[in-house]
Amino acid sequence: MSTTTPTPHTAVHTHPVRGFMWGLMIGIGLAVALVVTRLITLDLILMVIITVIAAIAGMLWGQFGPAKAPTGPPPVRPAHVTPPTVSRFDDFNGSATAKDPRTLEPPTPG
Amino acid sequence: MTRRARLGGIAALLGAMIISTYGHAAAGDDTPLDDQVLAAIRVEIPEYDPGELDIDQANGDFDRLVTLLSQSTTVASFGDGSQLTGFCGGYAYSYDKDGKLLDAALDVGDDGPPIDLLDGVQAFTSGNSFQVDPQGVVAYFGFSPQTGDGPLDHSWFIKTSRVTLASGSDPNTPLNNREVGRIDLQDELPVAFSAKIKVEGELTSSNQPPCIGRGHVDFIGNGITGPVGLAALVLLGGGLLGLLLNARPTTTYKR
Repeated sequence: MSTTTPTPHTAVHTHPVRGFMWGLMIGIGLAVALVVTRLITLDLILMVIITVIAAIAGMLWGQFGPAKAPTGPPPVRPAHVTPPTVSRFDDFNGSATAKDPRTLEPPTPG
Repeated sequence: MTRRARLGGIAALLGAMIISTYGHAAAGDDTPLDDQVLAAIRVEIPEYDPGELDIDQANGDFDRLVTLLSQSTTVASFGDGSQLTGFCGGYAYSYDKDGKLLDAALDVGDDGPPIDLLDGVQAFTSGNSFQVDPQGVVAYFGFSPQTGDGPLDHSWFIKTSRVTLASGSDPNTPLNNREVGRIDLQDELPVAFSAKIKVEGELTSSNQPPCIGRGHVDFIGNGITGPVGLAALVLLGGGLLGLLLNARPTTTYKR
């Protein structure tokens, strides 16, 4: 049984309701099994007590049982991406990059 | 035999056998009977399922058994205002599905507890339950009382674990005081099962003190390999798997 300890990058999800339901099923099966093997006398109160105890144990298991390790590799976080430099003269077609006007040579007369 | 008649028979069985009066268990005599007496009693009990019993023959069998047990079955007048419990009695023979004798018990109708005719000790106790095969047969003879008028306008119930298994009532205007019959458990029970159950019951009437009692009956089925046992195993196994695989806390990566 692989267990894991929560880290800052992981979160534990508990399942008390599922545990209760499965525990209820175990309890009914256990109570009937004890009766048919004649280990206990048929007594509805006793059978209900066994079932309730098993259901509560299941709920506690679902809430406080050892947590399963996460399956699969940790999610890959996207690398830091530098936003593109914004040009003041981007052409509307987006096919060319405008030059900074301050770096342009003055137009030649004539 | 109709279902009602069978249930009436169960009532008679209740009064006669399944149940000893409330005070009986505490006052029970666990001294085993003499071996010679037990051997003589065993001769009287049919080793195999005798089929339908005749009431007069059953009555004679009962008297012989009581004679062997050297106990009185005379039930005197109830007197004025006094209550006499344990006036009901009889015997019950249990046979397995092959018709072989499984258990036998008798209550003479006095204040003593029912007696196991095979072991000679107190019957219907938790340590010596009356054994029954859920696919077998129980033959019984019961009375209330052994001599005199039977219960007039009576009602009865049988309970186990605080749940009423059967109940009924009958005016019984002919004042019948005895009943003989057989219960084919395979017909009565929906499924064969094993269980040790504690039975309680009461038969009240307008002309007799109540017949009240309790006792333990052991249904000897196939145990855990029977249909009920297998269903229990499926539930148990499925529940365990679900608990391990589906209900355990899980850890996930934060995103």
